[in-house]
Amino acid sequence: MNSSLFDVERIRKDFPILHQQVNGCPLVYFDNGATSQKPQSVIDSIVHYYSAYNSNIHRGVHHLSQLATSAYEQSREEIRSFIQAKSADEIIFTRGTTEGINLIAQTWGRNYLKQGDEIVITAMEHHANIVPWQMLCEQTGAVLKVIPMDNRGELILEEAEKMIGVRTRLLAMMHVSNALGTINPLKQLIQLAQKFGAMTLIDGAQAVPHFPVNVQELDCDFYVFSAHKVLGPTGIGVLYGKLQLLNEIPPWQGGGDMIRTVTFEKTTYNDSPLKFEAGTPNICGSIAMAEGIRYWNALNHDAVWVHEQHLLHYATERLKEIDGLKIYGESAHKVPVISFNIEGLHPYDVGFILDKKGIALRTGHHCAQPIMDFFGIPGTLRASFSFYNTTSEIDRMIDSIKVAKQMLS
Amino acid sequence: MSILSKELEIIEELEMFDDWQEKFGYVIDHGKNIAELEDQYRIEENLVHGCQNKVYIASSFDGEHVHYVSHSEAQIPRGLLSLLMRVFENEKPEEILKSELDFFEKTGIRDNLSMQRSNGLESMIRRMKLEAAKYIKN
Repeated sequence: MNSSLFDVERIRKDFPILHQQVNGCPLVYFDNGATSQKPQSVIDSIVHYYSAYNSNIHRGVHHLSQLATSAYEQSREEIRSFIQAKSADEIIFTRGTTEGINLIAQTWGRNYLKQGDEIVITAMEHHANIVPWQMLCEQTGAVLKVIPMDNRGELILEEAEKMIGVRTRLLAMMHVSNALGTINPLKQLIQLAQKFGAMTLIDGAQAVPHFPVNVQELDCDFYVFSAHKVLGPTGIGVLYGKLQLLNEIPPWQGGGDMIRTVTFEKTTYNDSPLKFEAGTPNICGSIAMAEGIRYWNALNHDAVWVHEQHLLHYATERLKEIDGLKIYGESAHKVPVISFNIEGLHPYDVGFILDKKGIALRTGHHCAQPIMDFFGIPGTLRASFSFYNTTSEIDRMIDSIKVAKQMLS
Repeated sequence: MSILSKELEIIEELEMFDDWQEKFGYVIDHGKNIAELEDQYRIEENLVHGCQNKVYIASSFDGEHVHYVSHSEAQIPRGLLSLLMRVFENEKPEEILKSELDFFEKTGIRDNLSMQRSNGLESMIRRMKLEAAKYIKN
């Protein structure tokens, strides 16, 4: 790795949380798939907002309100640029990925789907991209179809070609699998859906922390993600939608900010994005989210990719040294996420011992129970890396897994 | 032997260990004493809710004492379960109900559990007491 391109030790200095002891050991944070850690600049932006210009936005003529409104709308522009949307009006702030999916299910879905229409998802979806569609199917009589995957954790495209057809009204799928790390062949599947006039919604929660995304190039109708997985705070996320669609579909929640005029006889609604942002939004969250994205923008993305792929391959090879260890998700196209189990050992036991050694991994079904059922396992251990992780941290994980194995055998 | 004296026995056994690794080594080994649970007991109504992995607890009563059978998929909860079985097995339901177990605290085991696991342990204790309560005549 060329250190002038990517100096991981310098980067780690920007993340204060990484420099602590857990259970008497230096923290190794490998739970980035659940949430990323935050650089100092993001933390500072939250303190600065509440110290210097906290105020409610829009409609305020006073100085602080104008500062807050301006920062809030600048954040929207920052996010537009981050995913290469055409217009900032296509960026709707939500509570996160889950809310973005539910919003589309309950607005577009409730109004445009009817009995017998088909929604196509994939076998590797997070519960957040399964349950809202199941609820919608119960409400409308639409039918849920699932594109299967193979043992490597890759979607079976021939099956997708058979499944997506004239009845398909929506393809809702993840860009990257949170449980397996697979990067899906999105463009191909979006084009297939478009051939039949179906809408496309992409869950990008696990993609945006790892590589640049261009929604215009993907040509999806909706793209959703959460700030907290890409250096920002929790409780804020984004729904991107093509502007024409956003203006066509009805609002979801009613309240302040989303209206143009209100009388007891009739209310008229604002245009997107305000139409979908009822009530006082997460102002501070959106500002801190944009700060996280500024941090990301300042990185060399090619170098991030090379470093993260190096971590993925290094960890994969080292894990394979351990007898009885099985990796779930062996696609050739992966972000640095590794799900694994050790023969005869329960993931919770191994996770407990790793935690005692200061190593933070996720254990369980990763909100993707159908994947666990597919592999016939109760759950896995999952190590998910970020650009601030190092190979020496991976070495510590391997040593600790060996201790766990010894204790549990 | 009373519940209290069985607790003291466990505290004494664990006193010889200095760190969490040795203590949990003991817990894991202790779990190996639990007999394999027969399939007939692996049913929904014997599942303990509030545990991250599958834990089954069932009981029987010989007219005087309570007897338990149990299973946990994971080894650390199985070890905790086996310690609970050791103190509650073959005791009168009234004694089980009024016991104020504190050996997990006194041995430092509780301090080493995450909040979720600690809640899981509480669910196991509660379930064992509920089982005992079934055999108390009003």
